[in-house]
Amino acid sequence: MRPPGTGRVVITGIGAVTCLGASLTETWCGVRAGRSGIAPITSFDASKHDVRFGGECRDFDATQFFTPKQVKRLARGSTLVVCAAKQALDDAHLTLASIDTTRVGAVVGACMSGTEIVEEQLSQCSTRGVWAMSPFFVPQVMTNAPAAQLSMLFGIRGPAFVTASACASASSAMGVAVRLIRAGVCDLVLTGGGEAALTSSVLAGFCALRALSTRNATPAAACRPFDKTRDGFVLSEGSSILVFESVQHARQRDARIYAEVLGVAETAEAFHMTQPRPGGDGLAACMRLCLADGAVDIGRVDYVNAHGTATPLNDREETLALKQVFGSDAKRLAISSTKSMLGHPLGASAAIELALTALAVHQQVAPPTINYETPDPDCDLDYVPGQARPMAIDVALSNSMGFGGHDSTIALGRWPTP
Amino acid sequence: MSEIRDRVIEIIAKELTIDAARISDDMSLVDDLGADSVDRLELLLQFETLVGFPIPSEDEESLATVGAVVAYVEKVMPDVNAPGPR
Repeated sequence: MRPPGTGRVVITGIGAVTCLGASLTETWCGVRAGRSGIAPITSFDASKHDVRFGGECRDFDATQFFTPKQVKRLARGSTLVVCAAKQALDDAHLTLASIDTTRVGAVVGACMSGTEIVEEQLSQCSTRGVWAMSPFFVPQVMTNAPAAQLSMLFGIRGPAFVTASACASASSAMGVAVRLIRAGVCDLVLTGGGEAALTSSVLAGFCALRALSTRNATPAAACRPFDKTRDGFVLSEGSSILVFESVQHARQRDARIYAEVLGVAETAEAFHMTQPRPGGDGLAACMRLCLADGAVDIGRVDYVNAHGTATPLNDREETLALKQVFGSDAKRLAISSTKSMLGHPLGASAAIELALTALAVHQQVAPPTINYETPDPDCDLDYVPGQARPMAIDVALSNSMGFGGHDSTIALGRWPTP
Repeated sequence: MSEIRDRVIEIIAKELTIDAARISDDMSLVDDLGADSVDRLELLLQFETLVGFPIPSEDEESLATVGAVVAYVEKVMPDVNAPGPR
C-alpha cells in the first residue's frame, strides 16, 4: 500500500458531452432519471442501413465553443474532447496559466477519430480526383489529434498523446494518467476519451459484424444490457474529460474532490478479435489486478459500472467474470450498464462511464440499467433495473472491454475515506 | 468589379472564414488575412478548382496578395464562364 498522501490520485473536475446533453449535469440528470438518449439518426442518411438509430450528441453546437475557422479544422471527435475538457477545467476551478504546464498532461482515448472526414474526402476524391484532397485531411484525422488540440488550445506542455485499445481506449488513457501522476511526472492530467464515429461507414461496419441491436422501431428500448432479449449494442458518440490530480496538488489549492482513483489495471486476452475469453477469464484477471493495485478488499466494493454492451456474449461473460472475482459477494453488488441509456461511444465509453462512476461514489447513488425486463438465467446478478438506487458506495469499479481482447478496470473510492 | 474578382474574394472569405467586405486587393493573404501554411494550401486547391488546372509551383509564390491572385486568375482564365471544376 502506498503511504498516505504520496502517489494518491483524485478526480477534481469532470466534463461531458453525450447523447443525453452537452454537459455533465444534463448527462447525470438523464442517467439518474433513467432516460434514454437513443433516437433515429439525423446527421446522415441512414435509410439504407440495417440499423437507423444511435446516440447522437444533438444538443452539442460546436460553434458555441469554437471560431468558424477552428470548427473547419477539427474533426468532430476533437471538438467533443475540447468541449468536455473546457468543462472539466472550469469544474475543477483550474487556470492553467498559473501553474507549471510542463507538469500537466493530456492523455486521451480514441480509436476511430475523423471517420466523417475520411468519408467526405474520399467521396470528394472519387468524384473530382485525388488532387482534390484537402490539406486539412491529415491533421484532422491523425489519431493523436484530440490530445494535440488539448495541448494547443489550453497550453498544456507535458505528456500529450492518444491511447487506442478499441472500446477500452479511454480506460487505457486514464490508467496511463494515473501512472504519470504516481510516478511524479505530472501534477495533473486531463484524461478520458472522445469519439464521434457514428458515421455511415462505421455503422455499416458494425452492421456487417451483426454486433448492433436492430430494434429500429423502438430506439430508446433497443439497448437492453443483461436482459434475455438483448440483441446487440447501440452505436453512439460523445466525450468525457476528467481532471486527475495528485492529492497533494489538489489539497494545496483546496480543490473539491469527487473520488479517489484507488486502482487501475489493463490486460489483454490473447484470444480472439471480437469474442471475450470463455468464462470471463480475461476480465476477471483484470479486475483482480485492479483490486490488488489499489489494495482493495472485495468486501469494500459496492457498485460496478459494467461494460454491459448488451451483446449476447459480452453480458454473459462479464457476469461470469464478476462471479469469478467476487464469489458469493457478487450477489451483493449493485451492477449497472449506463450504456442502456447512452449507447456505446466506442473509445469514449470508458471515460463517460468513469465520470458517472465518480458521481455515483460522490453522490452515493447507483445509476440504473434501463430496458431490463426479462431476466436471463445466464445473467443472474443485481443489475439495478429501471431506477437509480441511493445506497452507500465505498468503492466502485468501472469495467471496459475492447475488440482485440483489451480489458481494463478502474477502482474509485469514496472521498474522504470513511 | 470583375466577376473573377468576386469569385476569388468569395473563396478567400469562405476558406479563411472572414467577412468578404473586409477584403481588399492590397491585402496579403498571410500578413493581413491571417492565412497559415495549411490555409495557403487549401486556398491554392480552391484557386485550382476555379481555373480548372493545377497551378505550376513556380507561380505559387506570386500569389501573395488578393490582387495578385485576381490578376493571375484573370490572366490564365479570361473566360470566367468557360471551365468549371476539373
